[in-house]
Amino acid sequence: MEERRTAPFNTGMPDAVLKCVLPYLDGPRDRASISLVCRRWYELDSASRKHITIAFCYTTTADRLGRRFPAVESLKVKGKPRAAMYDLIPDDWGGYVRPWVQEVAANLDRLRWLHFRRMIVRDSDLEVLARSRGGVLRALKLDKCSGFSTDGLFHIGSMCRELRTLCLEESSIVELDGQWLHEIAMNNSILETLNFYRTDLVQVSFEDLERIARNCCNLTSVKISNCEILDLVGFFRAAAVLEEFCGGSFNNEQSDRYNAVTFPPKLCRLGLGSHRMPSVFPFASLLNKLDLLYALLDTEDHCLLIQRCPNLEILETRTVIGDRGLEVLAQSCKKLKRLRIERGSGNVSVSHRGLTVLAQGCLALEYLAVYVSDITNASLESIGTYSKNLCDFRLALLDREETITDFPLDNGVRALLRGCEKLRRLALYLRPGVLTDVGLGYIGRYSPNVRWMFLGYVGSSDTGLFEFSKGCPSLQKLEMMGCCFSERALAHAALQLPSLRYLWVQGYQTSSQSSDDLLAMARPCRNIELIPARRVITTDQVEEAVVLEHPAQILAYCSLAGPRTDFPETVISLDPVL
Amino acid sequence: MEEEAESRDQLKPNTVAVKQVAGDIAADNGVAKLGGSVELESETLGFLSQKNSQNCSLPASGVNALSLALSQLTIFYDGKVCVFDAIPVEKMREIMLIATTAAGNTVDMKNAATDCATALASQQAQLYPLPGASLCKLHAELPIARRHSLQRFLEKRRDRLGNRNPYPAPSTPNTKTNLGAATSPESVCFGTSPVRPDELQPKAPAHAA
Repeated sequence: MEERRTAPFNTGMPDAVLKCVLPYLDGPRDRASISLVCRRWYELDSASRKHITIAFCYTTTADRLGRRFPAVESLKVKGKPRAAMYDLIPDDWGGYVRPWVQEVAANLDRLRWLHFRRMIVRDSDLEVLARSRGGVLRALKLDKCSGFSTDGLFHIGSMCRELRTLCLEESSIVELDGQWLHEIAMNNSILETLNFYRTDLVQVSFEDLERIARNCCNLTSVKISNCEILDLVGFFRAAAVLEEFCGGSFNNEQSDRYNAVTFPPKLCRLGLGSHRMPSVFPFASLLNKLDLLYALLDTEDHCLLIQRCPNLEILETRTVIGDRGLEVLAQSCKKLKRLRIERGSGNVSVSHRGLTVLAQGCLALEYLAVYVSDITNASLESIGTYSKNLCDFRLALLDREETITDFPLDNGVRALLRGCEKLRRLALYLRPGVLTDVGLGYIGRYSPNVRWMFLGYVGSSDTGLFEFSKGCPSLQKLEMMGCCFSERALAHAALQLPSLRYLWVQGYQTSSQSSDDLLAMARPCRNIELIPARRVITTDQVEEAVVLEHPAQILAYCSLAGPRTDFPETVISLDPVL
Repeated sequence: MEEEAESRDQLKPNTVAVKQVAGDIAADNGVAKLGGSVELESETLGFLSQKNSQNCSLPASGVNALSLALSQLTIFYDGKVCVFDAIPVEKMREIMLIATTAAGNTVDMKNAATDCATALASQQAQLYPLPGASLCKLHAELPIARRHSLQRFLEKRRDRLGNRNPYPAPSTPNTKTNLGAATSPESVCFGTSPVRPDELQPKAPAHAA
């Protein structure tokens, strides 16, 4: 389109004006649009972009980031596929933070907030980071990461004295001692958020926690691993402005002593690994977030607690809440925005009955993720009718019941999609026969705004995928499990879906000619990787060997970086040139 | 073949025309699939159509299916899918044998019914095209993956409560209607009442787990 390359495009707006306007535009899509107008606007955007999310670390390289956005202040990089949270990805799969840390250390002078998710971090990386940016780093989040130890955290504790946020949630950390927390306690007086929830860090000393609470007058959120609650009495007394607390354990036989524990007065976000809910009753009406994932409550306890929480906006719990708990939720918690019901291990389950009542009662719902034992078209229709604010819907059908009440769910899914117009993210994990090819076609046709989908055991033939891929205009990231689709159909879908830039599939019909069918989706700037079927032998808790058969996986993604060079033996890169 | 297809369409309005593939026979009471291209002789087709007219007129109710101890046969041919209910096992073997002879391939004749096939062989199931038997097998064999963090928590707690049977049998008939307080092994209600000593196992401190 440019006929005279050297002449600048005249937008009729002086740079000075644009520079005044740009700081108000920080949404990534707006910024992306701005950068496409002309070269000058591209340059101005590059110079002023404050936040970058690299949704998948292999789509580009760290030095490209540094060259284009040298002034970036906040960076989030994500690595391993989501399936890593479910132990489906080899540990050494990849997603190393090293190149990113090196870029931060060398060139990104303005960087203040850093967030790595599902990536491999080494102690040396943390040391480099601490030495280079320790004086200015304000937030570090190592979220579901692995590969480092408390020695690496020691460097962070001792050199990053400007840290307001340290988050290590759900990371796999090798614990050598509790010195890292001691370093923070001795060196930091401005910490606001401290999070090592869902880690196995247990050698931390409660005295250090108490010291942090005393020194850091803005400490508002603390999420810890298993530390005895009775030891935290002093901590709670010192943390005067604490709003969020999760973790801790209640192991003392003398349960009376727990009555002496008083929680901070502003506490409104809580997660307890306990059965001791009565101690929460006095301030339950203040709670807007409740995490019962690690609590030892049964259905009745859930009901008793929930009905005392009229201001609840976020609830996470397990299926033990039951349909009855959902009824109480629907009656009592009219402000509920986010509900996540994880899979428990008991007999109580959640079904369409509870979901229907929930949809009718909690009209503000924006996020719903639930494991159900049974589901009907009518309940999905109810969600479509009532949950008008729903942006994120995730449903997994458990395999405990041999048959479900009402299938296929084609019409219910269609009703839900048509009703929930704001839907951006969708996950359906079903079983063969529950969503037919027709239903899969409905998903394609009626999800105009959905950007991410996870589909498990849907459809019954390539026709379904064919119909599906005629639609989904906004779909950027697609994850599928247990597919009956052939490689040819997958390749076709990858080419048809207009916005698709990331595809992950596990369990599909491998074709007899090895991988030639998949290569049909090969394009410049697109990487295709395979993890062939594996057999993984682990030991379970009774020390017996458990053999897990992992079906083959495909990962295909758009990339400016060319094929990976750092993959382990388990991963095969499909390069059409070879 | 065209007439047969139409008659089948009338009886089974939801039969989906799959894209043109080589003929496949997938017996849902066994994982038997002929790979590659299979050409069925016309007399084979005639035999099949005969079976069709006998069986397709009767939507097998759950009771009938159980009492006759019959299996379901799915045939993919020439871009059409046909589901036959209430096929006696012996007849199914005959059909497979004929098709095998025609195709000249060896067929793995397993007789074990997949759980998935029987589960879906209810009244409604035969009106809809069933997914391939291999997919049902995959679903039956692969448990739903658990989130790692939650899995660890549930295992640790199981150990602490001394319960060695982590997965109670799901087939209790009143599970669905049990909306009341659970007495499942996973959750012991302490509440405000004194803890019963028999419910508590001697526990190791949590942080050592």
